[in-house]
Amino acid sequence: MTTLHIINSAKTIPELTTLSRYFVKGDSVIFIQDGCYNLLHHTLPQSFSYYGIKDDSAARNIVCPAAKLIDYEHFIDLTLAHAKTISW
Amino acid sequence: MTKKIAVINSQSPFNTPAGRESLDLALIFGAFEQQVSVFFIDDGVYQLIKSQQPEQIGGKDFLATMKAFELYDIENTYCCEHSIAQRSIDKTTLIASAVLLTPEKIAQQLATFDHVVMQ
Repeated sequence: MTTLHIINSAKTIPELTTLSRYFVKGDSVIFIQDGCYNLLHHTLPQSFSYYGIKDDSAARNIVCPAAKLIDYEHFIDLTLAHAKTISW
Repeated sequence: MTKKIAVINSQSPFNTPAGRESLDLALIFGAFEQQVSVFFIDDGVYQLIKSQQPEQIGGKDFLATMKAFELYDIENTYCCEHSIAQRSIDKTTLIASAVLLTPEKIAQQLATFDHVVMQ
């Protein structure tokens, strides 16, 4: 039972760290809209897979090698590949 | 009569129209020959990242307006150093005209203005 965590707002490192305590191994995290700003933090915990919406991060000129940039079709695939989603 | 006016920007650029509106406000004050300075604090610092492409998400590139600041006699663009660090933003990715200040320095600056508008 894995979960896709959807983050749509910019957070500070302490806020992200608090959030990640509620993730379990095998979970995925996707950053959408202003959530793409979180890709600037290079301290994301390593046990999860990270994704970002390509257009949202390009619009904000955010580059992050640690996350896979995807489009909305792939986002839908991700929601299907996990048992549920949580929008934080 | 000329007044010293500060416009403070504290929101990210594309989720709300706040950023665009406060830029318009600064330009209007400038056009009426007021002494305007613009401050970027909290999430507002995201507005200062270079080469953003809002067209990708169906937005207009209002950030390009900042290039016209000089033309409108907008004297200074200040950016909060602490907010930058909190958000892991690399200083070299910011537009060159932004001057970095500590929150203490920003407070001292704000004390010298006749009016301060917060967006």
